[in-house]
Amino acid sequence: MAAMPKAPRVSAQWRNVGRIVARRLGLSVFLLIGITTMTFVLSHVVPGDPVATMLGDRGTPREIARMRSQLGLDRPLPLQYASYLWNLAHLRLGTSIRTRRPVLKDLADYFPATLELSTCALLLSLALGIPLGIASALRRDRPLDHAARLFSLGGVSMPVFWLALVLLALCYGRWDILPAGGRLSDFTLPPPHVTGLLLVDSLLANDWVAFRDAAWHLIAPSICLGYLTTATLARQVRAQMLEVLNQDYIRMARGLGLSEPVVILKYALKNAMLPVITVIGLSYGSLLSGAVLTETIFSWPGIGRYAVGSSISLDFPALMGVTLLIAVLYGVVNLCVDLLYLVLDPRIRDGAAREIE
Amino acid sequence: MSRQSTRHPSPSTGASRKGTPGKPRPRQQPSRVWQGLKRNPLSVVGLVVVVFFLLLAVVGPYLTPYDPTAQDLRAALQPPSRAHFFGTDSLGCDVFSRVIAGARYSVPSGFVVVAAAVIIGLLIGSVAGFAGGWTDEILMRVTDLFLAFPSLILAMAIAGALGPSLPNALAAIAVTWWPAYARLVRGEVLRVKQAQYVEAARALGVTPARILWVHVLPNCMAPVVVAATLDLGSVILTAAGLSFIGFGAQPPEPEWGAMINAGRAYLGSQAWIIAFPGLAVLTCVMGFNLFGDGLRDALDPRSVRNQGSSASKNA
Repeated sequence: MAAMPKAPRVSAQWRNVGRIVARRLGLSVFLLIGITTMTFVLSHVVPGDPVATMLGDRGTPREIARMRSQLGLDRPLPLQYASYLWNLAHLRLGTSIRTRRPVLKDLADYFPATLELSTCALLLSLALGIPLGIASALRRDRPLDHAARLFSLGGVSMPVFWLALVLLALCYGRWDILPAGGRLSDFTLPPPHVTGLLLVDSLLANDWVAFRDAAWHLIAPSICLGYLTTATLARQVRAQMLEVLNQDYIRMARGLGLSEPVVILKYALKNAMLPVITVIGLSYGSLLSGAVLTETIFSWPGIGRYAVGSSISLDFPALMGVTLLIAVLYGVVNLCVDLLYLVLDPRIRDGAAREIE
Repeated sequence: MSRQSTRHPSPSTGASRKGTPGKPRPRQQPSRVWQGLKRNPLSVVGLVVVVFFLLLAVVGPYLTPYDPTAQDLRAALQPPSRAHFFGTDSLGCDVFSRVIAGARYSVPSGFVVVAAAVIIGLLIGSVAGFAGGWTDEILMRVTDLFLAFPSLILAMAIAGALGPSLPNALAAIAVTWWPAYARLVRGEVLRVKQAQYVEAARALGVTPARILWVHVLPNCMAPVVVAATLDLGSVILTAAGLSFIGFGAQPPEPEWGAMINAGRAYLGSQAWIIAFPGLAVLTCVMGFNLFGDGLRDALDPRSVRNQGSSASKNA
């Protein structure tokens, strides 16, 4: 950021920033404790019995009782809760009832796929939605604006699972230009595991075959997942741009004879983007958690599909792990958005932040 | 850049919007709202679609040419024809009848969830905003807690635990949907609370409960109504999605999402099985979105101002 006019002002500003960050971090801890408690209560008051589900037909009462005591499910609830929190503090998320592996390991295996997919979807919607919103605002009520608004309306109204199936039927079934699902073709050797993100891993290994294959597999799911976000962004950017373009300082800038690109990009866009940042943050949070349908259809081995499987087999340790992971991600993304505001908007540093919260 | 924007604060940010408190939106007369709606032909289209689907939800089940769940394996997988407008599915059920009957699942789903969310949100949000202080702090932190909960996953957990059914799915959606309304209502109450007529009522010794109920809440309703209309579409989408992955309505119930799931295997060869239920969801949700957008433009004085200024620029 540019140098501030007076030194004391700066320190006052950053004291403010420190207070806001401290408060946010405190709230995050509170949120985490709350969410763990809620998931715990939820998973223990429900009538479903995971052990009976797991054993299925083999579930004789004796076998079920033995299994329950083995999993510690027969101890009093407060005790179970205490040991749950204790384990959580040591990053032991328990053992999945379904896969019989530590939940943390499962999450570490499945999460990179979701991260890669949602990041691609977000980048796609940023690249499409923001220019579309700007163009739409500049050509208000012209054909381009109408087309863009129709496109956005489709995005917020489209059942994502249906769009995915239609894409599959056309691009795989009819034209055979895109793969049916998964992250890599059967015959492609996966790159050595470093981050779990196939695009990054294949680049690190300088393996262009795998890179191209991974990118090819990402196209359809990213389009499906990103359409809604693209539409939301385009609408938001359009609305904010229209609002800002009506401001006196834009008229002033134009009156001063500044060129249109400078007026739009330097003065209008910067101010219009501030509220949009919140939308981007919220969208990323929901992309990370909302990939369930897309992942199911494209057989994408991410946490969404993991959660579906866990839910069917009443695998509560796994579900609690997924919930916790998503809540943490959500909190982190929100924190980043708030910090970004502090950097971008000096009014908030000045102490208006109290009201924003 | 930073000094630039300090000098020219734009009213589009929360900080400066709250800087001009106590300016309540004028309460809109129904006829005025209708005038505003009529100005935009697309929102009238939205209204027509909404009314169409509402009617379909009410009388649809009496109009179906076939029993939507009647199977006829000899007539399975038939393409659209005069006997079966939308063809038949793998069990020989008439897809046209099932799509019509599906309106009775999806449209009420939207209304039930949104009504529940609005009621809880109004309760929590108005108390938090009106009481302020610690009550506000505690209620809003609880709201944040529910807001941070991944909605689809919670819905899946509840559906998995209580057994998959549409009512269970709807309950799960409602649990994760109300926080948005609580925050919305709280913001509105904070704004309206500072109005002079509220101060006057307080000076006259009107009880807080009555002030909230008679003077504050009615003036908070416009944005809530707009959000609710737009949310009807989103809830219908979410409920259909949950049914699609098997955590909502169960086959052979003629629910659109469940129908699409059942037709997945016939995607390449008998596309009509999933095409028509999908189009039904799309049209229905689009109707609510168009109508909601129009309603927002008609109720929100800010957007009216925008329209006015653009009109004057064009003139």
